[in-house]
Amino acid sequence: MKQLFFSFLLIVLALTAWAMWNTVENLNRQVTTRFEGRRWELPARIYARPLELYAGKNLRPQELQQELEQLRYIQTENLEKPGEYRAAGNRFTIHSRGFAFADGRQPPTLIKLHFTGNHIAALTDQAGKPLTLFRLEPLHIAAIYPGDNEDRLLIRIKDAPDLLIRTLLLVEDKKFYQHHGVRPPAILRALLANLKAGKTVQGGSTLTQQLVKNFFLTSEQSLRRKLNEALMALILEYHYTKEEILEAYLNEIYLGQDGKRAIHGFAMASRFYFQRNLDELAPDQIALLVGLAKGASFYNPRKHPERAGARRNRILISMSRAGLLNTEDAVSLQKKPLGVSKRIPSGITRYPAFVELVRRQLKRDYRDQDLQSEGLSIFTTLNPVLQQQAEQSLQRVLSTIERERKMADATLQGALVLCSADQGEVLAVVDDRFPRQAGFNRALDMRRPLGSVIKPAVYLNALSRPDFYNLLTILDDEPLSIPLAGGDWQPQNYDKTFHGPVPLMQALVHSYNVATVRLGMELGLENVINTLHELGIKEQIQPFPSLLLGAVEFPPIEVLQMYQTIAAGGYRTPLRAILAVTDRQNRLLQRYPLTVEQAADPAAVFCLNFALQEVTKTGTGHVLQQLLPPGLAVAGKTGTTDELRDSWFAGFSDTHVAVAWVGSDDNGSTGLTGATGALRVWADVMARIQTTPLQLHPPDTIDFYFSSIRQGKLFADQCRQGELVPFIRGGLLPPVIPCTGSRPSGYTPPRNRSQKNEPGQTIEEGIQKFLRIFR
Amino acid sequence: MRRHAFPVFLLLILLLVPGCAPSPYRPPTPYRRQPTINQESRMPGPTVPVGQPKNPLTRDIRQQAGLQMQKGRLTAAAQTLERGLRIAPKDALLWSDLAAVRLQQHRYGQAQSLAAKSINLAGGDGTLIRRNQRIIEEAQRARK
Repeated sequence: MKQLFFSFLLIVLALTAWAMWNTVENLNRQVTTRFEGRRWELPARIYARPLELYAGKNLRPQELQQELEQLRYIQTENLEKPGEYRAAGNRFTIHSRGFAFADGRQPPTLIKLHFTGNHIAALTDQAGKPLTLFRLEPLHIAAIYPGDNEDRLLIRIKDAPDLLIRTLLLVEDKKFYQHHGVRPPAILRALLANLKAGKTVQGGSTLTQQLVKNFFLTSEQSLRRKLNEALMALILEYHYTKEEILEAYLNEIYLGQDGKRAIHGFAMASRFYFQRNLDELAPDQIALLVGLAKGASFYNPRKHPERAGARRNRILISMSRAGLLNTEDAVSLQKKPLGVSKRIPSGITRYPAFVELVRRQLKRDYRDQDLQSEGLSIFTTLNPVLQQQAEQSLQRVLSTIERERKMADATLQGALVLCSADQGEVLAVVDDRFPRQAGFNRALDMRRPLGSVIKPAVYLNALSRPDFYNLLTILDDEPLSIPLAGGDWQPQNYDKTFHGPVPLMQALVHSYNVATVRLGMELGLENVINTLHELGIKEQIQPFPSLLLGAVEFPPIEVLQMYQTIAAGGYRTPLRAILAVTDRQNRLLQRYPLTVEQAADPAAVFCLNFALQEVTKTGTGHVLQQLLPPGLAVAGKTGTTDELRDSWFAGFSDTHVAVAWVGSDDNGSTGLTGATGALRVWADVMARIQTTPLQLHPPDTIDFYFSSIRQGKLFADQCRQGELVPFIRGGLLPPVIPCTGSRPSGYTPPRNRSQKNEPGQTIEEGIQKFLRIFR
Repeated sequence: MRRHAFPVFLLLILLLVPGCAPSPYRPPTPYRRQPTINQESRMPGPTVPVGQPKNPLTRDIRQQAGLQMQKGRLTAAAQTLERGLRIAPKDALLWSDLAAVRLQQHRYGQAQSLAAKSINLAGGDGTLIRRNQRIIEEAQRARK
């Protein structure tokens, strides 16, 4: 009987041991799997372009200040830490933050620069040695969060401020380096205190246990969970070093909430509460963050500033007692306000329209899952300053138009896209006059008929055949009837009159519809469609004659691509919003390099651009002469659709291409033409941004002749009157007419060559030329 | 001397015009436009960009890209040149250097297009145009 009892006991013990072993083994597997593998899913972070600084750059001091404020730099006299700057008049000293760019890490650096007028006169390092080029870190504009909505920035233990670690251990676990994961005396003490008080007043958890609780367990309060917590803490301590555990704690601990987004880890919390990096924090700010570890909701400094303040002050006193702070500092720091930013740095981007473009481009190369978890850094082309100026321009001009025309508020809507001319880098995307409201992305998805902004494709197709067409080829602007299946189509001009024979350039400059349709039909619809595709329009286009007047619907971003090719002299560069992607170790994963395709003959594009520049001087866009600053030469084209439903303007300076659309969401008539609506938005943006006047670069195959544009003829060589018009060498030339005796009243010598056309200053040249004629 | 230039010109007109009136239908000679960009350039080898452009910023960027190319860090060289083009987008030398990098990367189509673009911006700079033509020829040969 006794033997049976012992056998039974042995079996029970064996089974218990086996069950315990299983439990421990199971917990061991859980701990090691999580710790050995990737511990956290990290959101992808999207960055704007960095601000490049160099001597000679056009930049206003207030723009630099604006950039620094967006980057949350603090203006101070001492410049002790990165993220601080000093401004004295037109002199700036900046202590930049270090940043891992796609092409390498830039350490924190102290730089000095001063402005003369609106440009940087000198840029030096701390010792006064000239710096050729320096970039500030880019603005973080958006993130793509994991499914659990945890937001964190990883830090390594060696990068964490010493004061943070020492304060954390002081407050949360003084014996961290002595215990093995649990401290039974502390647990017992806490148990007794809690029993005495009848509620939980004291916690006995070590830092390791807190990490286990955050990492592996739910917030359920049960003995079983407590036991598991203790076992896992022991396992963790058995397998890993104290530094590894502490580093995991620094990154894992829950420290705040923003809607669905949970703020984890001290690095993210530092950004969330102070909009600064962890290494930039003052002792009182560190004390506040450490205080949050006990209960991020209870001590939320934005909701419960008194509670948070009291806890911070208690910690400051502890710090002083432990010798981490001297007493005077501890006293004065307690009087400081909490310093928490009023504005909660939202996890929702301020640039939803641009970020949408980025996400679409990312989707071609990355799975959603990778974007949400791999901690990628995405470097984009967004220029936050231009974006802000474009948003303000759209808002302001639409309000002005509504006021002038006595329209109800918010009748008009608009979109604006802007890119660099030669690189095709998308710098700004505005999809709404109220750009923060999420919704339909007009810049990317809205399909509206183009109207006359399509016409340059028709004229480019003609000018690409120099044996048949040039800028002065006479087109017929007389009544035209095109038989179609549903009856004849008789295009009309906007002014409802016909202009008879008109030089090709004038037909484009004044946007004559009938002459354009006749030309397009002569060229062949398929050929015009080919030109549109060459210019970058990807969508299928049906060969209806009405396409010649823009009865095809594309979103503004497609029009931007078309005009980028034109602005770049016929060299198409696919529009890019992303430049590079790096992984969480800052290794380059992918680059989106600058690519160029010759889409059209540069000489033909040069002739086209000559005419498009004329549009903005004497044509349908002539009002730009009043709206733009003097000397800012541009080229572009207006577009208006039937019943004044859509108002477009697409055009470019030397360095920027922009497309603006104004209309109403219900597709009703706005009463606006391209020139009275979208052009004004476009001009407002161009006038405000730092851009360069258009300077057309004639290819080597271009010759200029003195011409009468009105008559579509060349003047005989000796006349030197009229205007210089470009022609493709070897191509068809217009008829020659004799001198008319006097210069036309509207004659203005072309830019750059006005000197040469003045007889008094070109005597030698004049004589040589004269002699050559009679040779 | 300059004071007398205009009367001399008038005299020539008086002497020449009455005796030999030009036909109004004679095809005019083209007026040659001056190059709109003014760049000093030297003919660098197709692989390592060198040269002394006037803009010190461009010069430094080209030097940095040249060093990166010499070390075989072609992606880094392209990144440097693209950074330069963001600052000086009409600089024909930088476009030409980028074409040279693409040639080294065996991206011949891009080498050709970029060199053609550089020619378009070269403003009659014969040396630079010849350099670009050589890049185009090399790319064409390599593609065959």
